[in-house]
Amino acid sequence: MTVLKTQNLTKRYGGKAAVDNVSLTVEKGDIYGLIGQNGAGKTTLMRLVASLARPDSGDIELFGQTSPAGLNAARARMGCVVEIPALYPNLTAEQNLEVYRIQRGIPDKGVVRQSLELVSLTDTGKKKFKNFSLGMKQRLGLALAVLNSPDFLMLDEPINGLDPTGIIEMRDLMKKLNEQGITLLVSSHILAELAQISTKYAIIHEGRLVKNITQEQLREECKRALSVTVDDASKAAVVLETALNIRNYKQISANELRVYEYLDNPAEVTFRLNQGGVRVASLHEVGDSLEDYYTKIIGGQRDAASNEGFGRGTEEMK
Amino acid sequence: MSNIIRADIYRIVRGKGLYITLAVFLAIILLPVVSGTSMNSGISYSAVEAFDSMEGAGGFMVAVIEVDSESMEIPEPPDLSDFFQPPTGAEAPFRVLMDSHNILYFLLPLIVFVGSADFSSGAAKNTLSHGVSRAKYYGAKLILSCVFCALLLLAYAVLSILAATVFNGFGGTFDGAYVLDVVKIFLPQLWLCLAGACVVNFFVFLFRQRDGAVSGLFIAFMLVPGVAIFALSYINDWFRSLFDYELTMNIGRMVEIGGMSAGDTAKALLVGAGYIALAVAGGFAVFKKAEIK
Repeated sequence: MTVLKTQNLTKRYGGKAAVDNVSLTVEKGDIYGLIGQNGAGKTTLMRLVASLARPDSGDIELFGQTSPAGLNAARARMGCVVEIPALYPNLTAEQNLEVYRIQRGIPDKGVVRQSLELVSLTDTGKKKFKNFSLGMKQRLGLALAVLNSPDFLMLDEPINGLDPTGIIEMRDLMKKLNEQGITLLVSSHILAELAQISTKYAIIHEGRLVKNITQEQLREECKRALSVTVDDASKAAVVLETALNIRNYKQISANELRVYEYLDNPAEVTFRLNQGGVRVASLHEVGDSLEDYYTKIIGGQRDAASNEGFGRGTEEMK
Repeated sequence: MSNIIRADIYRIVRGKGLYITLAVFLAIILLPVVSGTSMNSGISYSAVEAFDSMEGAGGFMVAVIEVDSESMEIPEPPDLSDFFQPPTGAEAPFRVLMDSHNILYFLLPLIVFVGSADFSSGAAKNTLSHGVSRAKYYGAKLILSCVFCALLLLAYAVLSILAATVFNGFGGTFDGAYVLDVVKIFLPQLWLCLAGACVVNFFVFLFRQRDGAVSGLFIAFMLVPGVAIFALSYINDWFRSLFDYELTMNIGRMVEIGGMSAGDTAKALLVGAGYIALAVAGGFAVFKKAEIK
């Protein structure tokens, strides 16, 4: 079941596209990580979904609803914290949540306590929101987002301002909420954190969605392996299977193989290939972390952009 | 919509701002009742009309003293002692309501608590991202502002009678005719004050931050009538007619509704309707497509 679907969503500010033709699909049960630098368009995308800004073009579908009234009804099933959590500065944590409990027509007064317990903020007493640390504000923002038992949570940089313990707690909390059936769309520029919880990723760069990838695909792409360049990859494959009993490998091209075994003993691979009459031109370990992968993708984008720019310049010179 | 209003009331009664505003409001009611002076803020009907008639029931007083240029003798100023007598309970509403445009200034902090606080804290995002339509949100804030406005004006009338009766005695007969006289002033004033509330709300939604709303209001209710029109009327008397289209002036003028022609009364009420229509439609049009920060 599709929770959120955007189609060619575009938002411009002063002629510059903050979100440029973004199409993404969040399925039920996903923890969808939105990756991008500051100013890449992650927050703007979330603001569009939350109806805090209006798209210049494109469509939003939320829980199957596309009409303005339908979208508003669907948003009642959503909880979100976009940008810094914003609550009433002169009210306590409990009073703030009580305001929204009344506003959302939730009859059960106990939800306020439950939400505060969920984010470990039950002991803040009469301390007003304006005196909270950023980490406490983040947690209260999350408590507000889950107040109405949403089916979909949209969290913008939820670990900003959290201390290491807070980060671990927030990560565990997001996993726990997901296990309870809540779909999450989480943005962050701290990739290591997203890598630990996300099931899907979207990389946003300069307003454009440049890569959409599942956790499995990412693992595959980032998998550590021996990249072996040889004179004959087919022959090398036979040698690997017979001499080393290697089954976990992939032929990339006529001259290149990826071997996912013997990572701790590459010399043995070289020796056996040579023994089998295969000439090894190079052998080295490859594989990315999410950071490496992101940098590669964004780097590619930068290169493409600069090539495009160069191309245009050449055209003009002609 | 009712849930938004209930939530706002829950929030506002937990803030100090409401009580500070109400304390000052009470002082504004009590001071003229006890001392017989007016608490005019800015230009008002009582200020302008008293200049012409000098017959009014109280309020702002302007005395013109002409000096004989040949003898250089300064005549005795007129005896105004009666004018500054504290009103009795029976007189109080007629005197106090002359300056009931003051409501608009007290309405400002209240409407700021209702509307601007949501925008300045960013809390409006939590409501609007939860599927509350902008029309509903705007409507809820507008209704609450109007309720506050009505309650303030009611308090202005009732408390002035009570306070003046306590301090100076009632001094008249409390009967149906008296109540009717007060209601005749109260209702059209309420209409015009509601128009003022709509204008305040318009500024709140136009600027979506406190300072902008306060500045807008200062310009609309103080600078324009108190300085611009007043000053221009010295250049050319025609500009005085602009007071007919000005809210604070019309609110005060309603005290003499019994002596006004039907045409003048209708014109004043239509001015109120115009303000309401423009402010409500303009505020919603601006808010409908606004970016919520």
